[in-house]
Amino acid sequence: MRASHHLGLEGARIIQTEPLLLTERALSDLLDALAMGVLHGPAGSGKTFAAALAAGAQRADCCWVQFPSRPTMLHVAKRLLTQLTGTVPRRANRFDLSEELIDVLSSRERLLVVDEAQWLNRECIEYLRHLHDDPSTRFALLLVGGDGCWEVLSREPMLRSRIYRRVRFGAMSAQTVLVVIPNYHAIYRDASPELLLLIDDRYAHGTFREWASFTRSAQVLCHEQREDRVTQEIVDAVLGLQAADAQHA
Amino acid sequence: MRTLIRIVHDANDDPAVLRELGRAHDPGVGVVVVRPTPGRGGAGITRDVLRALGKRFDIAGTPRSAAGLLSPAVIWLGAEHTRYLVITRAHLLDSEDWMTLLALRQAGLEELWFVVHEPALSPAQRDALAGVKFSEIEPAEAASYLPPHQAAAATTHMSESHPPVPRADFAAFLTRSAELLDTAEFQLVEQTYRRGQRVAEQWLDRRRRTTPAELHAFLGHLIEIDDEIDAALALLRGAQSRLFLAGLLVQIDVGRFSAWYDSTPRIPLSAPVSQLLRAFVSTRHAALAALSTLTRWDPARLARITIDDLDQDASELRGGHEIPEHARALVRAHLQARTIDGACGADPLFIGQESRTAASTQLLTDHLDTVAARTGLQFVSRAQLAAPTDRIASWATIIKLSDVQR
Repeated sequence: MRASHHLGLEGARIIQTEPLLLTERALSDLLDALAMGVLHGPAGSGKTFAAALAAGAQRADCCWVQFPSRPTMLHVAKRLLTQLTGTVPRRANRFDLSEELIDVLSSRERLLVVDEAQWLNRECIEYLRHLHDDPSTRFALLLVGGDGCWEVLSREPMLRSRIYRRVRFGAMSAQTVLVVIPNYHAIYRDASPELLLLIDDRYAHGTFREWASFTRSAQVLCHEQREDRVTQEIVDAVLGLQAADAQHA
Repeated sequence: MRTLIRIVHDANDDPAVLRELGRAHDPGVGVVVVRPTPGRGGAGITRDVLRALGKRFDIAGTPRSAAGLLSPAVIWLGAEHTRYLVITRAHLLDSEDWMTLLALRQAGLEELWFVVHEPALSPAQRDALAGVKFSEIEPAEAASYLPPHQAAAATTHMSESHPPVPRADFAAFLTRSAELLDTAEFQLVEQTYRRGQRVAEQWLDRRRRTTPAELHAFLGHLIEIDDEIDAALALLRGAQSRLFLAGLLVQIDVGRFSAWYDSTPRIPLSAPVSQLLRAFVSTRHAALAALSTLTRWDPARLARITIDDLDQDASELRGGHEIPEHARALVRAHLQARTIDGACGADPLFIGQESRTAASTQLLTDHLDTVAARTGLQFVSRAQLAAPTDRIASWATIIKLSDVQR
């Protein structure tokens, strides 16, 4: 998976936040030790972006997988095998699938990233642990999950005792917003602190995903009005658009 | 024998405990550590047990049902002389699996361990253990109850080579060897020489008369076990000395023999080959391939092997074929499977799929083809055996002493 900004936002820079730097380090450590790690935090806080960016910088093959809500163990096994081999497995029983998965995961070192890991139930987590604990497999496992992910994972001793690196993501504070956002996109370069805090308070709430969403709308309006920076009018217009969307919803 | 049941409580699910137990896994010293596949149903725990023994299930014809795997699991555990069966993450198994594991005690296990990563056993697990005596072990000390891993030592043993032997003829062979070699080397050479004598004696015991072609074939079989020319020569010298006492003078042209030996392909039944054959759940395939590799007999000859041709521990096949220790379990398992079927004495070791009579040559050829396709090993077909006695005659001349006297 390639790291890309939400909604394909153009012109946005990658901000070296603390969680992003920690993620890069964590992935490197996980691959060195072929260990298990977790990135967790609220939706939109940049976990998936950070994981994709850090994974892309590693030499090992990366397999990225996301399961639907409440998958079964068999579903996890089939999906993993499909993702790793590029073909849909014909076999359907847990033994055949597991033996084939163990063979594939033993062939070379890899990074396996499971996004939205909070949707995994105990049986699925046990299954990932089973694959990872097998003496012949050689992969680092990164679990990426939103709200409640750490609570789910840490309830299971089988996982808690195996997590080698853990990175917490959170919403940016107002102070961080004032430091980060002027560097995030050119349209905010000369924006006043009051204007930035207004956007954050009314719309973005410290999350990168919402800032990307707002920025994309603002960028379009800037282009239409031949402005290269956000103005109060443009901010009001975007907030108005969002309010209208919210009413329609 | 009574099997000791142990419960290891690892409530913290410490990866170090599983790592230590995993390191102890060594079927060669009788320790088998099983990692159950999560989930329920299907073939159940017996499949995981067989997998821990090195079996593969992607081979056509391998049984897959729980009922079909229980007997192979018992047979293979027994044949491999498994003493400790350790089940990790046993808390995930249902009571049916626990009962199945308890049934595996009939394989002659000394100890059966259930490693549970929960503070206490569930009511269903307690029910499964009803009436069974068990003891508990602390997780930190669990691995110390198991014998140490010895794979490295076994490998060293396998690489030991046979000492060089003198080119002296059989009458002076041992004397010259004693003069030229140190004590340890001489002992090895003498052992090989005596083995040659013993095998020749067994061969003679089964015959009143013999033809030169039979004798040439015997010499060929005698030396195909060893993949070192010095060992082969020591065996021949021993056999020559015994045959001489029976009135058969075998003259060996050492130069021609060396050239023949170097040009004859051989697939010794080595430890890596045995390991490849361990992938088979089918005792018939594993034993057949092991014996074919050992003897290089063609399928027609393999079909004539009887239960009596093997000693009880499968350490030797009649005709002087000593089965290497690492391969004995492969043959022992099939011997045990046939014994369970009621076979004994002169009953064939390999039978037809639907009958109790000896397997056909075609069936055994098919089985060997299956093993060859799965392992990449090559086995002897009838065509390959067509001419060896002629070639052996190029270096071994046989003179019947009674003819000379006449």
